[in-house]
Amino acid sequence: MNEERIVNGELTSSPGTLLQDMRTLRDQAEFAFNRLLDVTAVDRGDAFEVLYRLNSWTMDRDLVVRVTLPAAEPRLPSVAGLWETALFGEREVQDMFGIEFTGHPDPRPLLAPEEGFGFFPLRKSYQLPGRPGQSDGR
Amino acid sequence: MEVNTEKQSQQDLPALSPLAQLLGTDSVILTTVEQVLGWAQTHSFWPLTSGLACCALEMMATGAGRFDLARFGYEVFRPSPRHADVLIVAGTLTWKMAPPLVRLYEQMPENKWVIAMGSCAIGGGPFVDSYSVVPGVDKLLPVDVYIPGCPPRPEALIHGMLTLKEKVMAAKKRGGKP
Ligand code: SF4
Repeated sequence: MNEERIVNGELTSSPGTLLQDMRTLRDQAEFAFNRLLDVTAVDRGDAFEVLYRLNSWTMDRDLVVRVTLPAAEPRLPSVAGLWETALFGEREVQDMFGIEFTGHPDPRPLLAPEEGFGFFPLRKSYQLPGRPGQSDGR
Repeated sequence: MEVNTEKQSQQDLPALSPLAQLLGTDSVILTTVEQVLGWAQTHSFWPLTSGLACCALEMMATGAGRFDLARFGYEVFRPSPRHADVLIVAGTLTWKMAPPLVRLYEQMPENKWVIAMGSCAIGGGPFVDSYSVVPGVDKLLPVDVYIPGCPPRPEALIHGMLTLKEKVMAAKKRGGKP
């Protein structure tokens, strides 16, 4: 892991190396990203991008870590062991995008009802059911 | 002279209960136990403290000094469903929140009533086509009074409570279930 991998405040990782990269970003003194601000995702159709926003108090610096994973196998290792804020962020992404975070200690739905919605609202394939009485169904 | 005689005859009677004194000796009320209980119940509804969204602020305003729900005897908002007999669903009910709300309703002792306050509680309101919002609490709970508005004004909530009072009293008079 070195500084050159960070381009425009962004670092691209992969599902296989994510945990290792994240641990380095947190623990290595030159990065010292001691806070995870947010976990979110983007649906690109054939792939998902999961984004982690990191922040370092000591270095006064922000970083976005971007991981692309195939839509056919939406699975990532959980970083909840590194930052506890991931506990909620990952559950939200799991509810909204159907991305599984393996190793998450408490993967119950956060925003969806206990039994889940039965669909993933923030996926592009999801369509709102439409308002009663509206002709175009939207 | 006449007045004196009446006083004299009243003094001869045995001591009257305070209620009889208040009503006068020859006043008689014919009623049923149900109606008396209904009168007591409907003048002191105890709502559950159960705000869900923006409508709850209007509910709080209704309870506070300016609108003063206490004038009607309904100000005793209970923090426990075991003490409450009216569930005012004030706000947006999500599917996530639905099981706890139904559970609260089930924990309330009989007799109990439900008021759907605002368009969210009536039919999903502005979020009717959302994936996360229950399109009307009457999908889950037996609603007695619907109060339209987004949000309804405190006066409307007061009117809703008084409507509930009339509804319950009418049922008591018929002898039916409230
Ligand atoms: S009816 Fe309007 S004011 Fe009431 S909870 Fe819904 S959006 Fe808020």
